[in-house]
Amino acid sequence: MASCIYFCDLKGKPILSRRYRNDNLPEDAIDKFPLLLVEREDETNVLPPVLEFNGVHYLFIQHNDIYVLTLTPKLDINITSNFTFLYQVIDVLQQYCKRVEEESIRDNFVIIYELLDEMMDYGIPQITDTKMLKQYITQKSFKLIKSKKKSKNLVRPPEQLTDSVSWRPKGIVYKKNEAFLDVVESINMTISGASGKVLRSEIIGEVKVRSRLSGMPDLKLGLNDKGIFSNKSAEDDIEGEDADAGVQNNNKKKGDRNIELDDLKFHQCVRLSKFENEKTITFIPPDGDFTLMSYRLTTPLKPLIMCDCKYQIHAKSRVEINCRVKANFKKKSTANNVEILIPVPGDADTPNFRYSHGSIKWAPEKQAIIWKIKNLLGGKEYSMASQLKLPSVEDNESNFSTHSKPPIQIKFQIPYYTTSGIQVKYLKINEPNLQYKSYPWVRYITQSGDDYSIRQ
Amino acid sequence: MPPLDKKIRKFISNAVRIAPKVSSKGELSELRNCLASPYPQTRKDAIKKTIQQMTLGKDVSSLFPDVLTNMATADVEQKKLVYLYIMNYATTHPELCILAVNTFVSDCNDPNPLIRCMAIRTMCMIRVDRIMEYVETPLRKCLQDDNPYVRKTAVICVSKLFQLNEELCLNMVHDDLIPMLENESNPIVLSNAMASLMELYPTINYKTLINDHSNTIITKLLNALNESSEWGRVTILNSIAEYNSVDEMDAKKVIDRVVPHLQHANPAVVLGSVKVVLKNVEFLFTSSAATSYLPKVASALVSMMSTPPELQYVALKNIRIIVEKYPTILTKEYRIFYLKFNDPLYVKLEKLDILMRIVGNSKTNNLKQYQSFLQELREYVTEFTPELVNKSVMCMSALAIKCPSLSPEIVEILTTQVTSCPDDCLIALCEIVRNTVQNLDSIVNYATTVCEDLIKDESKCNLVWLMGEYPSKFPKFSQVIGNFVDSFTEEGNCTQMSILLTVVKNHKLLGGSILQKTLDMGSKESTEIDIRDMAIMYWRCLSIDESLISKLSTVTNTGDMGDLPKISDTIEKFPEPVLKVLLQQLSTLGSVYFKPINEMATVQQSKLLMDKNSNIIRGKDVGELANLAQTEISKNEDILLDLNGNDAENANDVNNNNSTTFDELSDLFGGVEINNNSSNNNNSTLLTSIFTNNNANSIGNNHASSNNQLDQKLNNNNNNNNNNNNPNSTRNTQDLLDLF
Repeated sequence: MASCIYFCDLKGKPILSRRYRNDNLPEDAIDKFPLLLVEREDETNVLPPVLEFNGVHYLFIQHNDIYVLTLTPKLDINITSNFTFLYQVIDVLQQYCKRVEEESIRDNFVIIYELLDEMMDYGIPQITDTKMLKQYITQKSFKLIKSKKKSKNLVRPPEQLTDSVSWRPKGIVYKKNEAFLDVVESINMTISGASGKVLRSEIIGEVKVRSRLSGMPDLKLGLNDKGIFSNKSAEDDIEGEDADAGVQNNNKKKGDRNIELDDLKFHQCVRLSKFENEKTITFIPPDGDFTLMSYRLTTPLKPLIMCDCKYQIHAKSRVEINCRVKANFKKKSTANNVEILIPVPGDADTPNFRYSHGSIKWAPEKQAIIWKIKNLLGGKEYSMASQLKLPSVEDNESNFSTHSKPPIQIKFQIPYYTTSGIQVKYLKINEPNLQYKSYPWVRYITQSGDDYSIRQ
Repeated sequence: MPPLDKKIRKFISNAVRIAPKVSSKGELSELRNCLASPYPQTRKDAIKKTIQQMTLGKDVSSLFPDVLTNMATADVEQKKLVYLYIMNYATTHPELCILAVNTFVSDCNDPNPLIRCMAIRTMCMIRVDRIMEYVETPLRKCLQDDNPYVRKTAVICVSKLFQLNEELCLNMVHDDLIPMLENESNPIVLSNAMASLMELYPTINYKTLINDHSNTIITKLLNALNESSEWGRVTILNSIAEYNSVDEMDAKKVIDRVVPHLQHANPAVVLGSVKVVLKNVEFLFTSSAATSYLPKVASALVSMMSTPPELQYVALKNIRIIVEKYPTILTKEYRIFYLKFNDPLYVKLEKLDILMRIVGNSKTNNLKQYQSFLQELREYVTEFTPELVNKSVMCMSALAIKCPSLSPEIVEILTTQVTSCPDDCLIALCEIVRNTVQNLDSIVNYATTVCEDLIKDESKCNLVWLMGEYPSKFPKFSQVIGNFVDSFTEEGNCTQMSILLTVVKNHKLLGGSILQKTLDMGSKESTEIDIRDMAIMYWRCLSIDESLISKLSTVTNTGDMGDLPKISDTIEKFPEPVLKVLLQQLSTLGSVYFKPINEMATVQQSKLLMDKNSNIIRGKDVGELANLAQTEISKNEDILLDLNGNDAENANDVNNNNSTTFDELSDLFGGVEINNNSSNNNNSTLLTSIFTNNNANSIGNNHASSNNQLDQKLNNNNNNNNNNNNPNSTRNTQDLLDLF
């Protein structure tokens, strides 16, 4: 469906390309891409990921310093599948060449061609599972001699590739059979600085698995999810928007810690129809690391880390910032690597800080000061004061008083803690042939999501 | 620093290596020598270098024979490299590739499936029809290959042949591909076969094939869904979406199979499932069944908001389509669409669009939602980005109209707190006036203070309209209008029209000389045909009977806003048939442009669209529209797109009106009836006199003049017609009469 795939540098000049089919695309269509980008930039700030010129549609994503794009003249192509594919391409290339950027693409022409041919045929996505691709695309362009040993005639597509269990090769053996589960919850939250009220909060959780198991094990995961344990589905909260509050009440009434996960998403390996019918999560895991499932929760949360910032702007002379940060979680827990990004006017300089904990750095490129605290114990409260000089000539663009200030952003990690209260009850591992003993390990961590911010 | 043992190993391996290295210069002559080197390692390096040169854009086709000699090797890796090279030239230099055809044919019998695959794949990409005689036998063999990996490649090759040899391709489809759909046991091969068939649409109509109940293909596909790879699922879901369930049971069967896939990690699978479920939910008559599936769809859509921004963008565009069909589906979840600080701008704008639509659609608690949304909008209007502020301001006006109790508060925000964009605020405020005159005074005050700062055509047009509606509220009325008349030729079309109407309406206040001047300029100096038409029409009214024009203005001036129908909604909607088509093409590129794909638009549908005067590609900026229009016009394939094209030519007007022209139009028609009656009573003699004068064109405009806004709509309409059939007044009038 996609006619071709291009890798372009930041200016939009092609580095590498593969044409999958002849769709009456003009050969030089790609040359227009950089111009389109520039034209757009001149006109408006909005740069949607779909551009059109002369009947050719340009679908692109950006990654590091490259654009990856496909072109198509047709309107009836599946655009979701196209974008997803582009992301998967990046993902696969990342596994092969670590960082995907202009230089690494130039260094790895051959392998990238080979991968592109394997991942897509005639515009139809085929195989994007890195673990399987690695089984038979073994070429390492920069380690010529080593790869020679492997090659010979043994390189064949693995049989499982086209099986229904296409993600796991047969014959995996480990001396010690282990499975590691990481439950990672990312918190996105918008807090109003003035009132301290939470305007929006969500938990995006992921269960990541590192499987080191032999053979073809069948796993069954038990969680304390309400939907999973009691078969009652979440129909009762269709009406009214106070469903959130309703859920909370339910929890309180029942008094147990069963929680309700929304929007579950599962890895390819999970038997979806079994989950739909019996509410059990069963799967044959791929070997190594993968994300088994993700979920989202919209229960109202209290801010885990609250930051209160007071600005005193003396126009044309200086700005004073007093900031207090408070950890609102239990005393047992600790937040690690707390990073608080406090925006300052773009034209401020000569910073001067007073603080008792952590370290503070001025980052002029981000127009902010960054306060880092290695360990923030639950219940503690720290403060800092800083002062920056303002130029005597006012610049309207970076003026804080005319426009709203950008939000304060906070990053953190709290190990051994889940905000939602999700718990792994069990992980049953059953390998029908080998019958080995196995050890599941579970770890919990809560961290800031990509948007944990305090509006001012 | 690399560890020591690694360094030693590297040293040794370099020392042991006897084969000469290929220098990095990549000169053709050197490459040629190395390609013929007796050392296999050197040859391999040389091929790699060649490929590298090829990628850099250098023409290395002259090395073709040299590379080809390296093809006959037992080393799979080397063979792959050669194939890579050949593939790149397969499309551009087919004459060279034909040289290798014998090797291809023999490779098709190689014991290694990887080689068989590469051979057949490459062969089918060579664009020479002579190769067909070689391809047929191996391809048929590969289609029956034991190894599914080879089969999955071969089925796709079938559709590749279409352009080269239609007959052979169709033969193979009937002999192999279609039977495979019923008999193939491997899910990947099955889904690829389906994908291949879909490529051949409409020559081979896979849709009828799926809907043909004499075969079991649909059952087969549904069963394969669980076993397939993620991309296979995407293909299968795509094809199932074309299946029309026969009855409720059937639909339920399909839904039950597909619903679990709403929880797949791949967004393409999710949206594909959404499409299938939504299509089949319509067959479920028992409402409880439908309501139990819709929350699942909602939750799947919401989860798309945690994907990368490009996918969010696609999802939001699709949600826009879905909420029009199911307005309450996401209302409960509206908070998920609140903007995140680091969302890209294009996502933010789409989110606002969705919010504006879904907020307040539930049965209870609407006020709370409205207030919460307004609180958010308050934050957004103080942002830096003008596009975002603009959109937020428009959302505010839509909100004020949706929820009148908030409108005083919104008017206050717009008049006092938003400083960065007077143009947009004024437009928004005028929209609010068209809905309710409650806060007129503060709006008029605001208009007076900003009237010097306006830049955009549409905002000036709105200002002039507002002044014309309430001349008594503006102390400097005649002076400001006078200034506008002086700069008439410099203004945009919308403003010109607005000036013309305002001056005619208020000519008693302004005096005859200004009226004369305006009509003069309108009829002679405007570039827009409708403005000239309108001005000439007024001239004629004047020449028939002096009192006529006064009567006209009294009709419009009876009580401020007295006659004008109120607008109740500023949110654009798709017309029914367009929505129906769009729902069927969720997740396609067309859905992002809100553009139904050609084949769907039958003549009948497009006629219906014409009647409804719909425009499906609004909400885009002028440049984009113009581009689209050009391509559309060049295609000129069906009436529907023609309509788009015309509208795009009028993009200025459409966009400048800014408010949702066509929605209002339908509202206005309701009002026109009333106006018609009143003006008929008043001016019945007048009408007949005009009829006798055979100045048919003025009838439409006569009514139109009673309503400033309506004028513009009708003119758009006029334009459409004008563009279709050269300005032809009788035809025009006919159309206008039809509309009434």
